[in-house]
Amino acid sequence: MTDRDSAQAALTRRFMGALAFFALIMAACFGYLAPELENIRQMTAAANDSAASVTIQLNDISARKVRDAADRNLFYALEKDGFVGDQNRLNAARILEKLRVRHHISGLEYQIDPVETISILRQPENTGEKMSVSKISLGMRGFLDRDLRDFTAAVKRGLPGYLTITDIEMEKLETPSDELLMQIGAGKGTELLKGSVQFLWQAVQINPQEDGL
Amino acid sequence: MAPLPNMEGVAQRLFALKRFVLLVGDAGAMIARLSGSRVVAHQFLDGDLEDNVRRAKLTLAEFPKYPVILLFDVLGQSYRRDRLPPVNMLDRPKIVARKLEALFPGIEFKGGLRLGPTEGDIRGFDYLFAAVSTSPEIVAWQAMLGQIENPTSDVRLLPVESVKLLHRLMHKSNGNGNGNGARKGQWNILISQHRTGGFRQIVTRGHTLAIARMTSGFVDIESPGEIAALLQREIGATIDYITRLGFDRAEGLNAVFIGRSDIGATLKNVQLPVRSLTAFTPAEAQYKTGITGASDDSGHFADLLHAAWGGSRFLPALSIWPQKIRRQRALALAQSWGTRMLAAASVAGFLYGANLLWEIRRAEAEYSLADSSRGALQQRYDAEITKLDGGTMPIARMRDIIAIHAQLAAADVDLNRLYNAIGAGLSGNAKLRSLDIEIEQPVTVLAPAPDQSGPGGVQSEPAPVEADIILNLDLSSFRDAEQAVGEAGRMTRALRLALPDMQIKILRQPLRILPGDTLTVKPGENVLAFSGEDRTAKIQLIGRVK
Repeated sequence: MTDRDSAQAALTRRFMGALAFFALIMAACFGYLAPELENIRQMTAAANDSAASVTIQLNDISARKVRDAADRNLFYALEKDGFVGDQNRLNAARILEKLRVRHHISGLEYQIDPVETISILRQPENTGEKMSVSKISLGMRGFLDRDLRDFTAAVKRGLPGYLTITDIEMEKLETPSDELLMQIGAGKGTELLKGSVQFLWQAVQINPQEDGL
Repeated sequence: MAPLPNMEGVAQRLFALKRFVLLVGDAGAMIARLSGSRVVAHQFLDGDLEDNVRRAKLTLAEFPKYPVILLFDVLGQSYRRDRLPPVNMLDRPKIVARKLEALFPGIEFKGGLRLGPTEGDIRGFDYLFAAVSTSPEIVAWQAMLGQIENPTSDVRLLPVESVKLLHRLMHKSNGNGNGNGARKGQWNILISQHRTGGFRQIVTRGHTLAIARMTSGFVDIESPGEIAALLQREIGATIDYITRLGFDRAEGLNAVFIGRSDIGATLKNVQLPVRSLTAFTPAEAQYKTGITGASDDSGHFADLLHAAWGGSRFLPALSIWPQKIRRQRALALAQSWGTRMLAAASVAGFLYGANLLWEIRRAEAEYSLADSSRGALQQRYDAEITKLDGGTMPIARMRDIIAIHAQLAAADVDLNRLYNAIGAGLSGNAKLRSLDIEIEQPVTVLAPAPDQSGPGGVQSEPAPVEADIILNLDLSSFRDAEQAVGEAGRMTRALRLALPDMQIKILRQPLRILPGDTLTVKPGENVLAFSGEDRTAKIQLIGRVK
């Protein structure tokens, strides 16, 4: 091989080496580094998007906290009013007697039926709440129809839980005569009206009903 | 149209390629080292042939990497103008090689220059074919090229390469700076004084070489007048010759002279048979052509100018190097430049890769920051959610209970409104004996909750509440039955006005006058006198109370 041939061969070798090196660098740049960079940038963008989404959810939570606080207060108020929990019949008897005196009811008889538990369900989950329902029947006698009406309203307001009126009857016993009016004037009260009221006494059970109440 | 800039000159200045130009003439040789279009060094070789070759080898060995361009300016040049048939680009080299072999058989240095399409009806292309006849001097210089380490870049002919030099000088002398050719059909002549030969005449017609003549043997004559007289005769002979090629003496010949200044001045004074004459010294000519360093010590000879012009061109006007060797050289050049380009591209790629790596590091740091930020936010969110769902009872259940209570409250009937309506309807003569109210409560249900954060399962519209109300009216204060019946009717109408959503009807009248009743009147009985009967009326109200 002459010097020129060897020089040409060396030139070819250098060219091939440079080509291989260039190909290696290009492969490294465009086959690995650039896709890797793009991948990391996409991951960063995804993380930022996720952070933004969580931030929005946190803002939603702040609004939800306000709503929850209002609902909790409302719930606690209901709980305080006796709508949540057990029906305390002894306490109900005390309240009825106190109201009878306050509203000048001369005669009061009442009956509280055994508690029935009904389920208030939500479809389609078929889950819901259990509610204790007792029927209260009041028989009362009084002097004025207003007394009976006020007493009924007071019972509805005063008893713990929620009372729904299902039936009211009021009937005049007799027409006041002159003699009766004189007795009334002497302070000897008498009964001119009788009435009956039926309530549904309702409270939501959050625990099983305890015995002895 | 504005002339294009001289891109080749720009490239020469930009790259400043370094090379040797070996100008071989009949009276010696000259070797010049170029950097772009600048002559860095030169050496006249005017001894005997063997000594010239030896000195040339020594000079070339100083820079063995520099390529050599061989530029012939010898008498043994042959030119033929001929036509080739129109063939495609791939076949053209073969046709040219065949033509050259036919025109100049056995000669190694030969080549063809395409001049343009053939004028007239015959299709084809005009070519200028040229060759350098083999001589002992040519063989010696050719042998030297094989012995030196420097690569041979090209072999060219001075008259062909200097055609553009003539045009450049013509335009520069006319004040036109573009330096690009002459008017079509215009005859021009370049006369230059050479140390390696004598007086070289290059005659062009338009843009192409017409003839080239060398007048040697002026070595012993120093007188400008004598030289001018001799040149006058030589130019006359040249004109005679080109007249046979179509030169019109009436049109005239534009001449440019490069050489000694006193000869140039004398030529201007003598009556040369040319239309115009412009004389330059080599120093002036190099200034006009953008070449530097092309003035030798004497300042008389144009060898350096021609060598610098013909050797600094990237692409020759005509290469007479054998095609096979030219291809090998082209391959070597392509590999050499390709290696450099690849190296440069690799460096750029490496820098790009480094930049990518740096970007990856930065992106990783950004990702790490973003991910940790997202993680912290997610933790805070989870904590808030746990806090929200914590407590003695889930908020959803509280909302259910609230919803149940809301439904019960919505179903509650305001009895005072009923009492007021009834009280307002009663007149002074009618008394309410009894009142019976039955209320039908709607069923309490929970609506499906859309989501946990919503306000709970409250129904959008409360269910209607129906009631059945019976009023017993005491009408005993009426003595006239018709008035009592009227009072019941009036009461009914008053209730209808007060409670428009309810259906109100009279179930019983003080007299049995309703369609379902049996009215019995005994003889002598005045039913309208209203005696002995139960003087009451019963009114029923059915319907929606809320």
